[in-house]
Amino acid sequence: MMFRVEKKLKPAAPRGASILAAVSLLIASGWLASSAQAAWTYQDYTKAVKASERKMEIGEADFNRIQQRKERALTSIESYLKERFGQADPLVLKAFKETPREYFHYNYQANVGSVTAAYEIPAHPWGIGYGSALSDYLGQAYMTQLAKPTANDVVLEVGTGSGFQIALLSRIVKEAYSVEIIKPLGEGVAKIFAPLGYTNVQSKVADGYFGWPEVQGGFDIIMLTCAAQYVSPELLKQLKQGGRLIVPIGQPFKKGQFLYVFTKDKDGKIHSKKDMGVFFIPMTGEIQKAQPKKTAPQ
Amino acid sequence: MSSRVITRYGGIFIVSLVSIAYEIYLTRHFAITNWSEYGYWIISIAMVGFSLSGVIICLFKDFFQKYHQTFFFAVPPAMMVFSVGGFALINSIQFNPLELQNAVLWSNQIWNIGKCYLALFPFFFASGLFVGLSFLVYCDHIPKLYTADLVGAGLGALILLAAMSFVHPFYLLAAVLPILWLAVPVNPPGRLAGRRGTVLLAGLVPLLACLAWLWWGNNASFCQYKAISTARNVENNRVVTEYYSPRGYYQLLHNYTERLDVDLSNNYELLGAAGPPDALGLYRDGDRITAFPRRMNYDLSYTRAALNSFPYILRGTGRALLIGSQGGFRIREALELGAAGVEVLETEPVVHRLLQDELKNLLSRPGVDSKKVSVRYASPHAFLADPDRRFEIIDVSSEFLDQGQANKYVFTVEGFQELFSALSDQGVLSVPILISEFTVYAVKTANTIRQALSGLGLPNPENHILVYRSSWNARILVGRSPFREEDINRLKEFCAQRSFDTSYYPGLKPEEATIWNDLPAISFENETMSASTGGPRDALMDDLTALFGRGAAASSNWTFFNLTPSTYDRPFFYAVLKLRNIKEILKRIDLVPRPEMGNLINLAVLTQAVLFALIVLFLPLIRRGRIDLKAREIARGIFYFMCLGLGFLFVEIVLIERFTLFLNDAVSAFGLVLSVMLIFSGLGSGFADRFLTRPNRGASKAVAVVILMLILLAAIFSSLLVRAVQWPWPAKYGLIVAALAPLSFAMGMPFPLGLSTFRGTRTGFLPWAWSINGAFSVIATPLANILAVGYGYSVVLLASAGLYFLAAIFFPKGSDTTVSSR
Repeated sequence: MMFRVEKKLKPAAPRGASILAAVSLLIASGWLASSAQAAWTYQDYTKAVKASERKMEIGEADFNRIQQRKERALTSIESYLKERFGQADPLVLKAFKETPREYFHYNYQANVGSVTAAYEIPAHPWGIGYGSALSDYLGQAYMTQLAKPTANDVVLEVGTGSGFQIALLSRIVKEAYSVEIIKPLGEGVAKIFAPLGYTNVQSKVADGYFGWPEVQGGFDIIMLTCAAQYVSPELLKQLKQGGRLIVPIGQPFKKGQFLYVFTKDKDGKIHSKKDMGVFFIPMTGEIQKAQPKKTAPQ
Repeated sequence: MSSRVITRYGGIFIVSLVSIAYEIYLTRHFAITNWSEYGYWIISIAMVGFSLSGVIICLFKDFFQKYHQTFFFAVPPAMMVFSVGGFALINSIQFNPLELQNAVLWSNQIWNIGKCYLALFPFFFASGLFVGLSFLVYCDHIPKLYTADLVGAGLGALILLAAMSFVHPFYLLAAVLPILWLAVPVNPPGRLAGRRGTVLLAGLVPLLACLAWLWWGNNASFCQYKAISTARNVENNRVVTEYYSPRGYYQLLHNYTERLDVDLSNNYELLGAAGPPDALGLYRDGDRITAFPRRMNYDLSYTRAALNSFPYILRGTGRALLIGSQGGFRIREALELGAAGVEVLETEPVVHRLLQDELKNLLSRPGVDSKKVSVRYASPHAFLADPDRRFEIIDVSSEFLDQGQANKYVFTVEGFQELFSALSDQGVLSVPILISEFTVYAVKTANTIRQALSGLGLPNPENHILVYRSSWNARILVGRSPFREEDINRLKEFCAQRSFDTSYYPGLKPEEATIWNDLPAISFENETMSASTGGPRDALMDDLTALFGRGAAASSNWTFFNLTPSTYDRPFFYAVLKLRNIKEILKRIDLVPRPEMGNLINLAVLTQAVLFALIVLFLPLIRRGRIDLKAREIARGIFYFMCLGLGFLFVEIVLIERFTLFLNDAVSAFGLVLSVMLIFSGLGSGFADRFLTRPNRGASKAVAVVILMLILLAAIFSSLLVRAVQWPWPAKYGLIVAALAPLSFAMGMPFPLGLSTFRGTRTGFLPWAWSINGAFSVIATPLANILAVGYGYSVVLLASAGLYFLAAIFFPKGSDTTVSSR
C-alpha cells in the first residue's frame, strides 16, 4: 500500500516556484499530511522490518504512539527551519513526513533498535554502532534545506550511516546514491531501502574517496562525512558546476556541526562557506555593520 | 628479615605497589579506550575511595582495631577480585564522552561516570583500608611504614611503566596481580600463622581465577568513536605492525582509506594536481597520529595544490628544517619543491623508528644522498640550542602539535624565539594552525609570535608576518627579515590560483580583499548572528588586522577568549576558554572543540574533589566524642595535613611539567618524577624515624630544606635545564635524580612526623589525618592545573613553598612533649 502512495507523492515536476508553492499549499491544507500518514501503517512497518532482517519489532500501540509524536516533531522541524532560514522548504517538510524515521533507529553493532524513542523531543543524536550516529532530526532538516535539493537533482552521500539522510533526500530528488566505508554497517544498511520501496536509492560499501564514478553527468549535491583535511579530487570532479558539496565538521554527538559548503564556479574554481546556522540564528534584516568585502569572482 | 618486619611492612609495601600500578594502568586504559582527560576525571574521583577508608576507620576505630588481622589477610585477595571486577565493569559501561557535549544527552553520561566510580571504588577503598589500618595498628612505626608505603608505590610505578613496553595494554593487569598474590601470606590469621606456604598456595585460587578471566573473558576494546574504530572496520584492513610502550599502544594499519592527510586546494584540475597519495596509517591509542608512504614511488603533483607548499615557492632553494615530517612525506615534498637539503626532527619515538625504513627508500633514489637528508630524534628546543644552526625554511608539520604533549612548547613565546633565531637572513618559519572549529587558535598563535618577535627586539613584528588559509587550516609565515612587496604579491598569486585566502599581510586592506572561503566569527555570547547578506567574511582577517593594526580589537574574541601568548611557564595551547565565563561556555558546550574539554574537566574534577573533601572534613565529627582532642588541636591537624596534601602534589605536578620540556616526553617525565619522588620521600620518611621524640624539630628542619630547594629550583634550575638540554639521556636522567633526591627526601619527613604525634591516646585522629591528606591530594591536581593555566607553573611552585611554610607553622601542637618515646 505504501509503495503506491510513494509513487503518487513522488514529485515529478521540475523545480519551480509555482510547484513549491503548490506543495506548500497542500501541506498547509493538511491534505498531504493526512495522505502520508495513511500510507505508513503498522503492517507496513513490520513487513519492512522483517524484510530488512533487523530485530526491531514493536507493538501496534507503540507504533501509534510514535506516529503521534511524529506530528509534534514535524511541527518543531517546521518552526526550526523557519527560525533558521526565514522559511521552511516545503519539499524538506514533505520528505520528513514521508520518511519513517523510526525505521532507521537501529544500532547495527549491538543489533538492537531504539524504535520507540523515535521523534524524541528534544531532538538528539543516536549511536548506531561502529562509531556512527543517526544525527538529530533538526540538524538533518537544516542540512537538507541548506543543500537545496530539487526534484531533478542527483545526490551522492559519502558516509551512509543509518541511511536516514539519503532516504530523506531520495524523497525529494531524482536519484540518490550513498557510499559507506564501514563494511558491517554498510552491508546492514544496504538492506533497508528496498523494503520501503525507495527504488531511487542505491548504496554500496566502498571507498568514498572515489565517489560513484559510474553515475554519468555527476552530482548536484554531495554530502560528505569527512575526517580528512582535503576533499578528494574525484568527488570534486563528480560535482556538477553550480553543485553543492556539504561537509559537516565536528564530533557527531554535538547538537550540531559546522557545515562547510563548497561550490564550483564557472571557471572551475571552488569557493567555500562555513555555515553556522545550526548554532546561530540569523538576524535577518539587520544592517551589516562591517564593510562588505569583495567576493571572489563566481 | 624477621617475620615481624615482613608482617608489619611487607603488606603495606605490596598493597601500595599494586595500588599505584593499578591507578597508572587505569589512566593508560582510559587513554586507549576513551580519551585520557576522561580517565583522569574518573580515576581522580575513584581515588577518593582511598581517602574515604580513613574516615570509615576513624568512625569505627575499635572495630577495625579488633579485626585488623582479618582485614590484613583478606584485603589482598579481595583487591585481586576488585581490580579485575572493576576493569570488567568499566569496560561494560556504555560511556560515550562525546555525549557530554550535548545538552540533551550529557546527564546519561554523568550517570555512566558515576557507575565507573562505583566500579573502581572497592579496589581503592580496600587498598586505602589496608594502608590506613597499618598506620593505626602500628602507629609506633609510622615513619618506616610510610617508607614501605612510598617506596612500594614508587616501585609500582616503575614496574608498570616497564611492563607497558612488553605486555599488550588490555592484559597489563596480568603483570600486576601476581605481585598482589605475594601479599596473601604476609598476614595469615592466627591458626594459619605458621603455614605461610599453604596460604600462598590457597592464594592461587583468586589469582588464577582473575588471570583466567583476563585471558578468556577480557572485554576491553577501543571506544567506537575513536578514529581507529572506523579504520578497523574497513574491508580487508590489516595491522601491519604494532608496538606497546608507556607512551601508547601503536598500530600501523593498511586499508584503502589510509592516505596522506594534507590540506589541498580544491582546484585540482586547474592546477594539474593529483590527490593525496595512499599510505599506511599510524594510530596511537586509537588516534591517528601520522601516515607513512605505502609504496616507494608515488605522484608528488599534489604538492602544487598543498597549502603548506608556499614557503618553498618563496624560498625554495635553501636548507629546510622539518619539525615533523608526516611519516617522511614532507621530506620528499621539500626536495620536490626545490629544497637543497632537509634536516628532520621527530619527537615521537615510534614515528622516528618507522621513518628509518622510509629514509632507506629515499636514500636509494638517484640524486638523494645522506648529506642531503638527515633525521634526528630530538626536540627543536634541544636541537636549536646549538646557535650555529641556520635554515632557509623551518616548516612545522600540521600533525606535530598533537603528536606529543611536549610539542606544545614549540607554540610558546620562547619556542618561537628559538625557531626564529635559527632562520637565515631571508629565512621563513611556517606554522600550521587548524581553524575548522575555532579561528581563535590562529589569533592566539599570531599574538604569541608577535610577542616572541617583540621580545627579540624587533620594532615592527607585524611586518615579519603573513597569514594565509584554506577553509580548514591557516599557515602563519614568519620572516627573519620583513616581508617585501614581491613576497606579498607572490602569496596573493599563490592563493588566488588555489582558492586560498590571505588573512594577513603588511598593508592589507580588508575592504579590498578577495575572499574565497567565507569564514564567519564564532561567539559564545550571542545566539544570533548577522544574516549573510553582506558577502563573505573572514573572521581571521578581521581579528588579525585588529591585532597587528591597533594591538587589540573590539571583537568579542578579545574579551571572551584567552588569547594571551603561551610561554614555557604557561605552555597551554588548548586553553582559550576563560573559566570565569563558565556559564556561557556550558550553555554553548556544543561549540567547544574536544581538545579544549580538558580544562573544563579540570574544573569538574576540582568541584567534585572539593565536595568530597568537605565530606572527609565533616563526616568524622558525627562521632566527635571518640576523638579525644581539643577542637583547636583538630583544626591544627586538619590544616597541617591539608597543606602537606596540596603541597606535595603541587611540587610533583610542576616538576613533571618542567621535565617534560627537558626530556621532550611527558611519559618519561611522569614516570621518573613520580618514582624518584616516591622512593626518596620514602627514604626521607625512614630517616624521620630518628626525630620521633622531637617531631616538631624534625619537621621544621625538613620544611626548611624543602622551601630552600624549591626556591633554588625556581631560581636556577630552569637555566640549568636549558644548558643541559643537549646532554645525553643518561646524564639528563642523572641530573633529574640528583635534583629530585634531596628535595623528595625532605618532603618525605613532615607527613610521618605529623602523623606520629597522634599516637597513644590521640590515635582517634590518626586515620582522619591520613584521609584528609588523601582528599587534598585529589584536590591538588586539578587545582594546580587551573592555577598553572591562569598564572603559570612558577606560581604553583611558589604556592607549594607557601603551603610547606604554613605546614611548619601548624605542626600539631604539644607534640614534642605529649608523644612518648619508643
